[in-house]
Amino acid sequence: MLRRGGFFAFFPLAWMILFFVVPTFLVVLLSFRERGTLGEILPGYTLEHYRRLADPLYMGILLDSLIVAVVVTLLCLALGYPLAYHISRQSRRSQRVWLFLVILPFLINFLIRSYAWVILLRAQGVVNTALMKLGLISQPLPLLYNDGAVLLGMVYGLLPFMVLPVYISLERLDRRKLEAAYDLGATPLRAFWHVTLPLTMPGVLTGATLVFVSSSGMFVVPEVMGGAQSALIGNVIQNQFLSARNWPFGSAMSVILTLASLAMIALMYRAFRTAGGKEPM
Amino acid sequence: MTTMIRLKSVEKRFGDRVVISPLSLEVEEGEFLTLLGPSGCGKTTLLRIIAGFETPTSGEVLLDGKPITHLPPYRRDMNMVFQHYALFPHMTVEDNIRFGMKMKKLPLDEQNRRLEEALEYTNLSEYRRRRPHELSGGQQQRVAVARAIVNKPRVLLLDEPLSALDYQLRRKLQVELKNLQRDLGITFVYVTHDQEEAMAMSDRIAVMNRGVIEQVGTPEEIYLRPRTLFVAMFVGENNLFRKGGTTVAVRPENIRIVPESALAEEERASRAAVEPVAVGAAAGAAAAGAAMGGAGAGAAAANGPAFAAVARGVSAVGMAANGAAAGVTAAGAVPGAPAAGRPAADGTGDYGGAFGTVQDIVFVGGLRKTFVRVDADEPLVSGVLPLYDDAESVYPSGRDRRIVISCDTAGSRPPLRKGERVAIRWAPEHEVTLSC
Repeated sequence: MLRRGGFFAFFPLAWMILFFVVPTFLVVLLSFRERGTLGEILPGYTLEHYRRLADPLYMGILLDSLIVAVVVTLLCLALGYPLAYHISRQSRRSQRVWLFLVILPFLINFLIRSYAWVILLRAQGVVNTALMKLGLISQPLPLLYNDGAVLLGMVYGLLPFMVLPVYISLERLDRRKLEAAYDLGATPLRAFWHVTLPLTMPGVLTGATLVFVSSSGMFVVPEVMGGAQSALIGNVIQNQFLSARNWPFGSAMSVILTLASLAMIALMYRAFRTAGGKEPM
Repeated sequence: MTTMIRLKSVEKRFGDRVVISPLSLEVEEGEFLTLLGPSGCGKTTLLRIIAGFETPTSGEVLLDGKPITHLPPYRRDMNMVFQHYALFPHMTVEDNIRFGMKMKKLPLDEQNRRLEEALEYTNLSEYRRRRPHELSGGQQQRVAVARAIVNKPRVLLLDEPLSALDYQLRRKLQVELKNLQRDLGITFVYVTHDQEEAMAMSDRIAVMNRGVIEQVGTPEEIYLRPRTLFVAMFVGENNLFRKGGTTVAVRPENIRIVPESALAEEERASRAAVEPVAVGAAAGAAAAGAAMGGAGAGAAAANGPAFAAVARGVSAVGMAANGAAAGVTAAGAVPGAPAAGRPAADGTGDYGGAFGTVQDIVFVGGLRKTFVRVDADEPLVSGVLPLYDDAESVYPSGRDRRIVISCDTAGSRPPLRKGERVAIRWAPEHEVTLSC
């Protein structure tokens, strides 16, 4: 295969090696290096950073981050699947409009969009001001700088990553299989449960993987919308690289996060496979 | 016998486009009825209306006397075998077959009993744990059938169930399906564009064209007595001729090809048999015959003196035969049925007489098909039947309308050669008058 597609595979392959394999390798290497007092990398090798990670403080943050990622993934699925289903039911024309609307937020920088949420949700923000003016509340609601705000920001930002793959798998779904289900006596609800859902599982898995991976390492949203008390693993890693200048420790944390994410994804695939079965097509 | 399905002036339009003009059709209980027609004729839409996937724009659908027009598919006591089977790829053969029973919440032991029965009947027992993509096309087809019949539906609908299979397998499964229908006694409504398949399997065939049922009848009726131009040309091969204001069809097996060399002798023999009848027919015919004979001779003169002599002989006999036929028709006999006073059926009363050249001879199994190109300036000596040339569209594409096809048993007649000069003949009772 490499032989025949060799020419076309060369550049993507070179790209991946240069910007993915090599950096990953460097990160792994770095996580075993010793750090000098000023943040410089010393020549020796050590397991010290991993020992430090075993501290309940860091493990707690890692666990929190994974839980947040799982919750975000489930919320995106709960919101994204119905939306994708709805879009796939539209006429060709309005499908294009809907898809454009789904992608539209990407045209604006994610950081700016996160600050937009701050303007909406902060104590003197649009929502609170409106509610107070209407006399519905007397005190501003604590809408920002808590776990709920972090979840909101992440689900908002990552929803398209769920909608698009699910939409594609719904589009690819052979309608005749649904008709066959109706023909065999399945009501629309049961046909959805026994045919549509299992057959669109590949899209769900792709979407879930994208959302899960993106949210587990995300640091922008917790930073901007989460405030000081809701630090997630992404923020800690960012701090190690930027403020603490402890690159080896940050690298070790990255490695652990990557491994934990891979393990979660593997578990997810296992769970879906036994439930839905594989789709040959 | 009771009517299982009744369509009452069912019409289907998509926007302005009429897919099915109002039509009525009845399917008897236990019958194998085929909807036959070219793609786009509305046969699949009609089947989907019966199944409940489409709602007719107007009209009514009844199942065993009860209106089901607006019942969703999952409430109709019938099942469908889909064109590309539409098996569930994420389920095993067993789960596919079990699906309908599960949806109807049948007791588990009943499910298991029927499942075993269906697996055994369709020879799928050893594949029960496989997924559809691990099966061959023929096996998938059998799963689709098993999945439907296991529900014991009143009616089984089949939408081109064999179209994805190769010829050999298709022939085999045609027999299997027909046997299945006979064994189970289920009413079958079968959709196909393959007239051979329709002929081989059906009790009755409804030939459809452009959203209209052109004719309903047994395979024999459809073949032997097509009522319309479309049916005549769609089912089997046919030759069309213009006769006065009407169009007649003559099947290739009823067209006789006579080499010119054998003509003179044959004419001598036939003249004796025909002449007395011709004389008794009408005096007017004789006058017309003289005019036609003159035209024939004039045209034939271009072919050289020797040929002219033969042509003249033919024209005389042809007219005589025509006179006889006219007399019979006037007496009120049924066209196409052998009638008293008609010349003996040994070919002596043949129509036709157009001359042509053998263009091709093809052997199909035990049959010999001869393609004769009729001479471009052929005035058709008998004067009765110019070749049909109005509606070019009814001829299968690529077929030249000046080609007459003849078909006989290989070896039954002396072999013809390509390029040989021949005359074309047929007996009047083999003509089928068509409406357009």
